[in-house]
Amino acid sequence: MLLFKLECMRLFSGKINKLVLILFVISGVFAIYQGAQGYKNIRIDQYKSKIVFQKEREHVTQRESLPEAGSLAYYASAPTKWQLSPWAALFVGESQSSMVATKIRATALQSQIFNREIVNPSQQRTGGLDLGFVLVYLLPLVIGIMTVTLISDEQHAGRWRLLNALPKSAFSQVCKQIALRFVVIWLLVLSLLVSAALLLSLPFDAVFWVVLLATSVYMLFWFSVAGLIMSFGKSSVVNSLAYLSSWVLFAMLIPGAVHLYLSSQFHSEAPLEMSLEQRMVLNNGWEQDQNKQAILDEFLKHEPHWQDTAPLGDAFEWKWYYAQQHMSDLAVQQQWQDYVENNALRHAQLQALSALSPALYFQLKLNQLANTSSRDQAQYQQQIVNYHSEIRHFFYDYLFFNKAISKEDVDNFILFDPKTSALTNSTSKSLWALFISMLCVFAIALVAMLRLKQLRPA
Amino acid sequence: MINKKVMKIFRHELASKRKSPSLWLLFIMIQLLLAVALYTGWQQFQHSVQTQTAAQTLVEQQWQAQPDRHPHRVAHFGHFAFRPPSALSFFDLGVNAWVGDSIFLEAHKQNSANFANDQDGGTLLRFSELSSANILLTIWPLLIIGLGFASISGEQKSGTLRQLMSMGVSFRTLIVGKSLSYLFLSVLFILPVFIFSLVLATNAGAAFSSEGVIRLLLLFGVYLLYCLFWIGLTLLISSYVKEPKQALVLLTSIWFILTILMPRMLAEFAHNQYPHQKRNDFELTVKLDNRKVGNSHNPDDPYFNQFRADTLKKYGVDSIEELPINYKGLVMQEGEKLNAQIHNKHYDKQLAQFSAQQQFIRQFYWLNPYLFVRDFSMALTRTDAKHFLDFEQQAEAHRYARIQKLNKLHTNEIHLHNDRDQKVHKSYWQEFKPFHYQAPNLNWSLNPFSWLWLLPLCVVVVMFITLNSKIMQRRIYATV
Repeated sequence: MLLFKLECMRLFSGKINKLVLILFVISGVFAIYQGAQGYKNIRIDQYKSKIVFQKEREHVTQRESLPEAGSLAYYASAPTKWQLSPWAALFVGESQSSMVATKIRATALQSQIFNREIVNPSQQRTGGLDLGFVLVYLLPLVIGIMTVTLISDEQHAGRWRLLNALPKSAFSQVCKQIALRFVVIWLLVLSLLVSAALLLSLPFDAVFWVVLLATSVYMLFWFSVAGLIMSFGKSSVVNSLAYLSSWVLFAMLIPGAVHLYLSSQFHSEAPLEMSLEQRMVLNNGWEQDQNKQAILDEFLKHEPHWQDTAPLGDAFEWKWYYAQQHMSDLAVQQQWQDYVENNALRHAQLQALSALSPALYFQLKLNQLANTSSRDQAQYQQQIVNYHSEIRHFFYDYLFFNKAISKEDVDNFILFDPKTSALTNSTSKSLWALFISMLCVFAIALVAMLRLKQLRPA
Repeated sequence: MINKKVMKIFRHELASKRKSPSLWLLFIMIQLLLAVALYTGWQQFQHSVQTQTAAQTLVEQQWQAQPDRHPHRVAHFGHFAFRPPSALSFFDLGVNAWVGDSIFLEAHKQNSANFANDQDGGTLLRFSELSSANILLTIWPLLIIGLGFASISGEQKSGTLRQLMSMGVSFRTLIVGKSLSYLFLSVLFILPVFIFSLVLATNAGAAFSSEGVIRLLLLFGVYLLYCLFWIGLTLLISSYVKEPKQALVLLTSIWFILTILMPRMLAEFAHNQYPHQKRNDFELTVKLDNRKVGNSHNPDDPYFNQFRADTLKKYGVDSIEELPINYKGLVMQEGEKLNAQIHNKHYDKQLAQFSAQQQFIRQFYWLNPYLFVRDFSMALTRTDAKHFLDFEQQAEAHRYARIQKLNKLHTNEIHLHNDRDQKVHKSYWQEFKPFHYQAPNLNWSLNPFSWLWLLPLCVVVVMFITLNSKIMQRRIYATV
């Protein structure tokens, strides 16, 4: 017990140790606070979009006569919602820089789907500070500063030889010291996570435990790295430099290189090409007066359910308008499919490449748990695409069969139904991933332990 | 000030660094990294130039190849504005990943720049891209720390400092000699990337002008200042802290705070303090304001009733049919004007929030030269948010002029009766000037830094004065 007290005193006596721990806690609290703000803004955005749409709908139904269906469809921008987990406050991923409540209407999809969130690019360039950042990038440095010079300091102070001469091995001493540091840092992480959970009223469900477990494994990885470095028995300075270099490699260089590689491999001009082509298709549709019926016929081939519609007259008809809007989407359908597949491939590649850097891997996993990864974003995009065709089909009856639209119909307008993107499935999958990475980390930890055990004073 | 002793220390320090294999390894690795960064940056730049130029040419051709058309149809056909990458963007990518490269210009609507290359940005770009500038900004200081953290504390610990002092080498000489050697190494280190940048930039074609050379020289200067800051800081900490190990830990902690933690905290804080509107909010406010003033498509709108009365009075006629011009075209012009005014009002508010955020961060230039050098570098390479927003504004000005020109055609060349069925001759389309982004000059780019660059310079100067001060000397002499 006395020894334990002494160890604790030693741990907290160094100015730098204290400074680093304080810095870690401050960053964590700041990140949680900022994350809560950001998440609140997202929720407000999503909620407000819903309310605005309801108000507009009320506004329409309160009018004496409803506008015709075509005009109604033109102005009915319905809100969608990227269903984020409340953990998005802590692991923001793509959620802060992309649309979380895209509005969508029955006109051509391609001119709506690439809508971008307004961001301050300078802020984005800096790279945000969420709890994920603190855990993935700051935590390893805290571990390094507190651990990596343990043995070399003992050597330096001349105690290492002494410890080795004791009946209880020096190795068990070092283990105790490392364990103490692990527990102290782990408790700090736990208190950050618990206070975040309480503040954001996150449920203490499977996700919480997965996050805690994953963080512990990640911590173990960096402790093992420190152990491995120590096991070479070099001086404090060499140890610190080696640890810092591995941090730079895993945290900055590998993710940077992966980004360079993915950008060069999967860079696609498809969005631009699509919008250029679609613009021409749409415009030519207006141009060829005589071909209007041809466009409609072509459209009906793709949407046979409405093929009994009456032929076009001379005057402007909404059904032709929406038919050609949809045809312009179909004109770039192939490119869109390629683009989506290209993105899916990119995500798969990223997933595979992330194995190169535990930091990147951990960060990706955290984002996936919070539904904020780019894969979740792609799923949200797919949901928008599906919802868009639901909206189209909702209006087609009124447009093509001249069915009169009633106030009840407006009230029954289908709303976006956010799917929680097969969350259970992804949780079980991430559990497997966690298990495998745990095995890998344990293996590294074991190697570090064995090497440390053999370390003798020179 | 620079005498023989200084030169001796300078040479000795260089010689001792030359012997360290790990330093050589790091040097070579970072040089390789810089080469890769420069190469990929250059590839991206060229690719981007090609894409944007080809696309701009294509849309100009599409515009000119239009058949006889109704001007309002053409206004909805619209146009595109493309943002060519700036000549030095291969050196510093700045905010490029986060902003779009093209804007669709159409009637009644101000679109934003689309198609940015920020996929997986929230995961992969947390430390921004591996651009040359970014490597010099974040990784190079670590190497300076590695070079110099033990320079004073190490001598002190090994007792060589005492020997040096007893030989009559003053602390001041030691500091100057060592600073010079690190500065020399820094120049040696960063010079290749600048020389290659110059070579590449001269190949950048039209995007590069004589001003580009000045920009590159200034870049070199500011990165050298940045090196000096880290050299000064390293020597200062190394003199204050007695243990080399502690000096190293303290220096890396400071490095982490200055280059990684503080910029993020400030940016997040600034964003919360001066929030800008999100897309949906912005569009909603613009829409609501537009509804208030009137809808040009609605014939019974009160605002436009007034406008009609004024127009009739101006021409001294009783009905719009008697007007010598097409009233519908006038309404289009007026509507576009109102719509643009409202949009610009809110857009300016957004800009004000952005610049308030930036202003907030600027207050810390003196405390954290990293922030200053980062922003200054982006300004010099025309890759900061200010330059991007300038593109957006130029595109909007172009859009407005183009649409209003079409509306004037509508007013003057189309008759009110049977308006929709008429067309104007295709030769009119040739009279529209293509969109050319006017890259701002150096003066404009550096405008926000008017005197702010003095602050980091002062910090560096103060640091070296402190190092050379009597107090510092006494402190060192006392502990030797």
